[in-house]
Parts: sequence; structure tokens; C-alpha cells
Amino acid sequence: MKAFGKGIVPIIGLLVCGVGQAGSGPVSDPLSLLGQLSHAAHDRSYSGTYVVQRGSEMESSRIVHTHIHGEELTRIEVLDGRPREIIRDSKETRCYYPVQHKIRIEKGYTRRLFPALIEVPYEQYLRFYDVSRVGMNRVAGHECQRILLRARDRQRFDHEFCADANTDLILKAVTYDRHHDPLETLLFTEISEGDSTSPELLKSTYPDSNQWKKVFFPPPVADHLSYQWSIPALPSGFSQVLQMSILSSAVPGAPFEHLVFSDGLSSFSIFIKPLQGEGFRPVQARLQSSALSYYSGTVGQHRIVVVGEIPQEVVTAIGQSMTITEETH
Amino acid sequence: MVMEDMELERLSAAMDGELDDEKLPRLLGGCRHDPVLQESWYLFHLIGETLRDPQLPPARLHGRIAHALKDEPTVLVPGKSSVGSVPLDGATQRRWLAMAAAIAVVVLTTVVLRPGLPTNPVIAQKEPSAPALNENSVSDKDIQTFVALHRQGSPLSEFQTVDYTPQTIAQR
Repeated sequence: MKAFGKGIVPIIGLLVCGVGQAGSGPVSDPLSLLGQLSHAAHDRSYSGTYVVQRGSEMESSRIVHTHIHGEELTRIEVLDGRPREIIRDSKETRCYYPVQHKIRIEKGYTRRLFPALIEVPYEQYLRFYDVSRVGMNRVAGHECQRILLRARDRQRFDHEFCADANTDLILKAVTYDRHHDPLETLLFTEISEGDSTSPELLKSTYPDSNQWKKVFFPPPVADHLSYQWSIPALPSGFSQVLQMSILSSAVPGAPFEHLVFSDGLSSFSIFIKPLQGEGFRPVQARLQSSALSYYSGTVGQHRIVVVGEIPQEVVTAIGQSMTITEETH
Repeated sequence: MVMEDMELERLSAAMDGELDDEKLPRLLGGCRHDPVLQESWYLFHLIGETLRDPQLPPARLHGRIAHALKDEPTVLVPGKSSVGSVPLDGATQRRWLAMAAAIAVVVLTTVVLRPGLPTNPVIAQKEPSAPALNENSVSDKDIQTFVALHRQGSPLSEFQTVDYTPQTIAQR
């Protein structure tokens, strides 16, 4: 009896683990898997409601997406807070702000829209994340495969996607902190797939918007460079995707530089602002209701602000390592 | 003086998204070195935001200021064709800026006294780690501003989290 007991425990343990981790294990061809996730988001037609949850904050949106005759069309209507509507086609992304009667138009700038979170080149993810299957889940009534992208270093967060077991469409995406606590979650609460979407559902609900003011992004290119800088603590895998000079009434004083860096799954911004006699106490902050970290300090006669979806100590190291080497303008 | 007026008008046009792209770099370059332009930019927005905010007490004062400004030859929201066409005379500009300064004082006072003005509850920790030159601290609103700018510029920020900020102009 004793021998039987000794033998059965590991077997039961294996069975339990096997049931709990169905669909678990390393991914033999992660490039193909990432490609499937990306293609499903772009090539399939679907409509549904999804929520973005950051801490205690939650915002829901209605999405309609089609891929017909080679053209991809997306319409997102934000259901909470101030009304916003996003229309994307192959040429541009337009965001309508009906309260202000403004339209923000993004051209030549690929902003991700859930569930299209994975974009080429897929190799960029494999350099800094290990891809594995970590079991099954059920989201919005659909069985889905959990896929973990675990960061290989401590300079970025882990990400998990749950992809529809039949279609590979991402139904849920979670960003985790070091303790595997969720920082940010996007998930469908209901979704239907198929090509039955009416074209009317993809049109803007603001027919009078031709008269609205248009704001283009990225902004026009200037022929000057304000500063030369170096960032010794720039995390590996992050490259600069945008640089702008900004004048904002929310930040009194001279125009300042805004740099954006991304590794394909996370991003951070660096702001470089000339000091005009004022000084700043260095500040580090983790923002409770998001994956965002914040650092503000000074380098010589400039204020440096770093904010992004990366760990606090990385944001701080970036800010503290920066040097402003020359002002050329 | 005429040049300054034109710069102010360009500033006002840029504020409203009406300035031509090719004129934007020069304007931003001017703002970089001209504290008057920087201050004007800030004041223009302060006035505009105040007039658009129906909740700011006291309501009668708010209304009177709006009415007074209505009678002024305002450059707050010029059309595209007005840029560089009819500059204000010096006296008008001085009168207008004086009123702007007065409104700014009213705004700052009412904002400070306004009960229940939301503060940002998102800060988990602040860790002052070094002495400051003038002991200025970073406010929660300051953090919110940079978070909003980050979301506007980051390709990985969900678009629906990007709110419209009319008080910002930019160039690459």
C-alpha cells in the first residue's frame, strides 16, 4: 500500500500538470507563430467589443474590421468618456474628435490598433523575448492559446497573448510586471468573425466632418536639429522611431524635443527642454494605472523627462545617463 | 513692432492649426529664443481655455470677460487669410495683452481656489533623490502632460487613449 502510494502521487501530479498546462511548451517555429498572429489580425474580418484595463481604469471600444478585395478597413468607436472614432484604411488613420470638431490624421505612421499588436519584422521580438505556449484559456466565449513573450533581460516587461484556437486572432493581451502582476490588459468581451460586416458600419458617423479642422501627424519636417545628445543607458533593442520639436501651452517656456523609442512591443519617450532659470528636483514615479514609468531630472541646462512602458529603474537609468553635448541651433 | 505683431498673429494661427507648414519651423525657431512669444503662447491658451470652461467660477466675471473680449479686435482665432494681413496697432496690442494678463491672474486665482479640481491620483511613488536648484517640484499635472504627449507620439499607444490637445504644435 505504501509502495502504491509512492508511485501514484507522481502519476497524479503529472496528470494534473498535464491537464493544467494543455497546449504548453516551447514553440518550435516562433517566427511562423508570430506571423500567424499578425496575419489573423490584418487578414480576417471581425467585429466586437474590447476593453483596455489599466489598474482600476477601464475603457471599452467597439471595433469593426474587414479585409475585402485586398483592402483592410477598421473602424473603432470609443464607448466610454469623450466620444472618439477611429477610421483606418490602407492610406491613413483618422481619429475624429466630435467635441472639438477636429480630425487627427496619421499618415506613414503605423500606430498599432488592438488586436493587431504584432508587426513585421518578427525577428525583432525574438532577439529580446522568448516565445512559449503556456496553456489554454477562454475569452469572449472562444477557446484561446496563451502565448508568452518573456523578456530575456530586465529592461522590458513580459507580454502574453491569448490567440483564438481556431483562427489565431489575438483575443487578449496582457503586459506583466516583474512579479507577474498584470499592468495592462486588452481583451475582447464579445467578438464575431466572418465577412458579413456591412460597409456602412465602416464609415464615419460624422458626415459633417469635412468642415472640421485637420491636424496631421507626424508633423511637418524641419531642417534643423536642436541638440546633440547621447544615451549611454539606452536599452538594447530600442531604436528611435520619431523626433519632434514641440511647443505646448501645458509646458510653459521654449519649444522642447520629443524623442520616441520602441522595441516593437514597448516604447518610451524622452523630452529635452531648455531650463530658463528654473531648477527641478529629480522625480521617479511608477504610474499606478498603467505600465508607465516616469523620470524627471536635469542635465546641465536642460530638463530631461523619460516616460514609457518599461520598468522604473530602466527609465531612471536612461534619464540619469543622458548627456547633452551640443546645441547647434 | 509690425514684425512682432505678425509673429503674434502667426502664433495665434498656429494655435488654431491654421499656419502653413512652411511657416511653422520659423515660428518655432522664434519661440525658442523669444520669451515674449513663449509667454504669449501660454497666455493665449490660458485665455482660450478659460473662456471655454463653463464651470469656472465666478460665472458673472467669466461672462463679462468673454463679453469684453468679444468687442476687442481679437487675433485669437484668425482665418488663414488673415495671417500677416492686418497687423494690430501697438496701442491695441498693449491693451489686449494687459487684458490677457488680467485674465491670467483671474484664472490662476480661480483654479487655485476652485474646489474639487481633479488631481491626478496615479502616482505610486515619488522619490526625490537630489537637492534642487530652486526647489521646484514636478506636479501631477506635469506628469499627466508628458504622459499625454508620450501617448500621442508613441506608435505603441492605443489610439483611443490619444486625446486631442489643441494647445500643442510640433515639427520634426
